[in-house]
Amino acid sequence: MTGVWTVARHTFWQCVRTKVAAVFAVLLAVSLALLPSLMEGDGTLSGRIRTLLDYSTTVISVLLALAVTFLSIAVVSGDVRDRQIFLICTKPVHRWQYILGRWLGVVLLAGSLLAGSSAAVYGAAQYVRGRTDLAFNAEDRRAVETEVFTARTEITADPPNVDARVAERIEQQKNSGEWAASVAAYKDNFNLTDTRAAERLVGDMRRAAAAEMQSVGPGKSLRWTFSDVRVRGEDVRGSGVVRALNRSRGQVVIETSEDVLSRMLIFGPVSVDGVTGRVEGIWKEGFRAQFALEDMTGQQLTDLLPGHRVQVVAEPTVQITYRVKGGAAKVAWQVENAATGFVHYEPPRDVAVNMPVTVIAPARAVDRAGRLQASMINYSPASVTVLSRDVSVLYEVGGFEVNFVKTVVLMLTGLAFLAAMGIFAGSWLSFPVACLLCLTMLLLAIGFRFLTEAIGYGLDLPGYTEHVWVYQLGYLLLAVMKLLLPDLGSLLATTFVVDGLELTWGYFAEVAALMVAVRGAILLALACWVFHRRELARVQV
Amino acid sequence: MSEATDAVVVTRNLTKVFRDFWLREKVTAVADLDLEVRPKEVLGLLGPNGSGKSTTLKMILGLLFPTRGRIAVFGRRPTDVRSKARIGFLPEESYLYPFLDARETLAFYGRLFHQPRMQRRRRVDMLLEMVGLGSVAHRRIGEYSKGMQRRIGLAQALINDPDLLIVDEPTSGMDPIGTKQFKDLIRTLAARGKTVILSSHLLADVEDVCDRVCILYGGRRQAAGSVDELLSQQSMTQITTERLDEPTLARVGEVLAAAGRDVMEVSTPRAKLEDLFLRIVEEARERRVVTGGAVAGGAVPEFLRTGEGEPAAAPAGREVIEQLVAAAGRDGSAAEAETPQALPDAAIPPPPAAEVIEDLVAAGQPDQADDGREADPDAADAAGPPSPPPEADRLVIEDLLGGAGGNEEDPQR
Repeated sequence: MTGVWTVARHTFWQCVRTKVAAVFAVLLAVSLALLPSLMEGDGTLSGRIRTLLDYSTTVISVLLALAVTFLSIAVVSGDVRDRQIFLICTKPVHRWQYILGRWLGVVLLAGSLLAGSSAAVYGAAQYVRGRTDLAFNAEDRRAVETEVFTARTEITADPPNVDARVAERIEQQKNSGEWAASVAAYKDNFNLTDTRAAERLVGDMRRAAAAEMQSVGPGKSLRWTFSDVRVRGEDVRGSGVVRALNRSRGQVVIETSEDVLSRMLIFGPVSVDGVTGRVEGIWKEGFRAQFALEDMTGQQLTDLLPGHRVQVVAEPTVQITYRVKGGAAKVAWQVENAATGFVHYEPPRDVAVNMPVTVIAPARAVDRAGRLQASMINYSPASVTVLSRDVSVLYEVGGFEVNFVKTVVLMLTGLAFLAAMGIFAGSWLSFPVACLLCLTMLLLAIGFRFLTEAIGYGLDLPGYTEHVWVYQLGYLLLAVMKLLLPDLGSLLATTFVVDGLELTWGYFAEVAALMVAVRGAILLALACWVFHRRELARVQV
Repeated sequence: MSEATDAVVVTRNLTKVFRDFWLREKVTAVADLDLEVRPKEVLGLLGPNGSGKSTTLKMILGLLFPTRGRIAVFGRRPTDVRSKARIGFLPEESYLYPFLDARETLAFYGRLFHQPRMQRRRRVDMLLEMVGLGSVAHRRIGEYSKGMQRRIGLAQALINDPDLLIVDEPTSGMDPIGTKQFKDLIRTLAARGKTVILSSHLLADVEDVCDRVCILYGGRRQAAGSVDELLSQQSMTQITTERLDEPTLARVGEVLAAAGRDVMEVSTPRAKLEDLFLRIVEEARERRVVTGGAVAGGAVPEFLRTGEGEPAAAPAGREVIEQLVAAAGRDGSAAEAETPQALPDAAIPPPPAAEVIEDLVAAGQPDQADDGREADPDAADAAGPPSPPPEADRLVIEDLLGGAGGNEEDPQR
C-alpha cells in the first residue's frame, strides 16, 4: 500500500497547489462568509438558521462536486497528456496502485475541504443561534432548539385505506347499475378500450377518495394513527418553589433546578404535583406554566400558594408536525393514549397555509405498543385539507452534532463516488471529453428523481397512448442509468440537518454502502482494468 | 516471460505497428528487432528521426505494448514491478511536475521506490549536489530552464541506483558542463558494472561513452557492434605528439617514405570548444560570479560510485592501470579487483613521444608489435593510442578490460 499512499499524498498536494482547487476554496470561503449575513429565511430565528444550513450545505455540495469531478479527471488525464505518467509508471508502482492513489488523494482533498467548510457552517449556525440582539419570541427559541439543533426520528401517519373506500364505491355503483355507464362515458370521452377506460375511472375514483379522506369539514375532526413510536428518555423530576400565582388566569411561576429546566420546552408539558400544564416561558431560574382553570380550583392545586414547595416533573415529549393546504385555518388537536385513556389537548390556534406547525405532547400519549392517535379538530368555517404525508410525529433521538457529522460523511461518500467516476473517465478519455461525460452523468444522477417523476407523469397523461414509446424508451434509459448511477440527490442530506431529522444508520448504510460504495468500487475496478490495458505512450514515427 | 540468458534486455522479433482509429495498419515503427543488452555494457541506440529508437525504449519500459514479438527485462515482463525497481529512466524531455520543487520531486520518486526516509534524504541531497542544483532546490521545477529540468530528470533517474539506466536523448537541452558531467557519470556507472541504454542523435556523445551501438533505420536494425569495430580505420595510423620542429618532421617523413608510406596530413591540433567553454566557466566559478541557474555539478554521489554499504571501488584512471600492471607484474595473474568496463580518457597514459618515434624509426613497421605478430586492433582501441605497455602487462589489461571492450563478437550481427 506504500505505492498507493505515496501517489495519494502526491495527489493531495498537487490538487492543493492547483489553481482550480484554490478557486473552489475561495468560492467556498466567500459563500460561507456572506451567507450568514444574507440569509433571512422567513424572518424567524429558526427560519434564518434553517436557510443558512440549507443554502450553505447546498453550495458546498455543488462546488465540491464540480471540484472533485474536474480534479479527478485532471490528475489522471493530465498525467497522460503531459507524459508525467512516463516517470511514474516506469517506477515500481502497479498501475492499479496509481489509480487508487489518485482516487484516494482526491478524496482526501475533498474530505479536507468538506471538513473545513462544514466546520465553518456549523460555526455560523451556532453564531446565529447565540445572537441575542435578534428579537425573537419564545416559541421561535423553542423551535430553534427542538426542530433544528436536534436529531429527531420522524414517523408518518399510517396511510388512509383508500383502496377499501374505492372498492366500496365501485360496489355501490355496480349495485346501482352506474358502473357500466361510467366506463362507457370514459371510453367515449378519452377514446379508450374497455379495460383502459375502467383503469382510468378507478384511478380518478382513487384520487377523489384520497382527497376526501384527507380533508375535514367545519366542526369535524380527522384522526391519524401512528405506529412504532419509541420515545427515549426518562422523566426528569425535581422540586420547585412557587414564586407567583394568578389563580384566575391559571398561571403559576415556579423556580426549579437546571436539570428540570433543561428538559422543558416552550409549549411543552410540565407536571406540578401531578397536574399537567403547559410551559409558557422559561428563564434561567424557573418557568411559567399555564393550567386549566378547573385544575387550579380542583383538589390538587387548591393549596398552592407562593413560597410553597412543589414536585415538578418534566417529561419526554413527542412533536406532531403538520401543514394545512388550501387556506389559513383555526384548528385544535387532541392526542390520545387509547390504552391508558390519557388525553392531551392543544387549544385552537390560527395556522398559516402550508407552513409547518408543531404540537408538543407528553410522551405518555404513546401506548406501550408504540401507537399514538392524534385528531385535528377544525374550528374554521371552511374545510381544511391536510395530506397524510404532511402529518408526522417526531421525537428526539440524538444530538445535532452527531447528525451533522453523519450528514457530512454521507456527502463525502457522494464525492468519493464522483472522484471514482472522474478517475474512470480520465483513465481512457481526454480531459474535455471526460468532463463532458462526467458532467452529463452528474446532472443525470442529481436529477434522477425528477426525471423519473416527469416520465411517470407523462404516462398518466390522457393522450399518452399516442406517444407511449417515448415514455417507455425514457423508462428503459432510466432503468439502465439507475443501475449505473446512484441517486446523488439522496446524498445531499441537507433535509436531515435543516429539519433536525435523524439520519439513521440504516439509511446511511443503504445510501453510502449499497448505493454509492458498490458503484464506486465497480468504477474504480474498471478504471484499473482500463489503465492496465492501456498504452501510456504514443507511437511517434 | 523468462529468457534463458543473463542478458539484461532481450527482444525477439519485436514489432510495433501503429494503427489508426479504425485499427488499420498505418506504419510499422519497429520491425522484427532482435536485441540483446548484456550486463555491464553501455549500448547506444542510433538512428535518424522516426527510426524507432524511442518506440523501442518505450516498449522496453512497458509504456507501449509490442504488436508482435517478445521482450524480457531482467528476465521478466517489462511491466513487472520487480524489473522496474532496477531501472532508471530519463525520457527525451523532462516530464516533471512543475509545481514541485527539486527536492520534493526527487523525494516523490524516491518514495515510489519505497526508500527509507533517511536514505531518501541522503540521496536527494547528494543528487542535487551532483547535478549542481543544490542552491536552487527550493525553486519550483516550472521556473527552471530546460537544461536545469534535464538535470533534475537525470537525478530522478538515478535515485534508486539503477542496475539498468535507460536514457533517451540525454544531453538534449544540457549545457556543455552538464553534458560532460553526464558522460562522466555514464562512465562511472559503467565502471561499477551498471548497464546503460542510450538513445541519442548526438553521435559524439554516443561515441564517447558507448561500448556498443545499434543503428536503426525504418524500424529495423541496420548495424550493430562495438564502437571500436565500427569506427576504427584499420588502414591508417595517427600519431599525436608534442610539437615537432621542421627537421624532425622531415626525418619522420623520410622514415615513413622508407617504409613505403606517405604522410597524408601534418597539422597542429586545435583545442576543443568544449574544453575552452569548460575552462571559462570554471574560472568564473572560482571568481564566485553569482548565478541563478545551475552551477557546476559536484562529484558523482557516493551511492552511485560505490553503492551504499559496499566497499569503495578501485580508483579509476591512471591509478587503476598502474595498480593492475603492478599486480600483474608481481604475480602474473589478473587482479581480482572490480573491473572497470570503460575507462575515462584521462586514464590512458600518454605515450612518450620521442621514444615512440625512436621505436618507429627502429622498427620501420608501425603496425606491428615488437614480437612481429599482428597487433590486436581491438586491444589497441580499448587501451588507447598505440603505445602499448609491456606485452605481459598489456595482455593482463586486455583480459581485464576486454569483457566490455567491444572485442566480443556480436551474436546478432
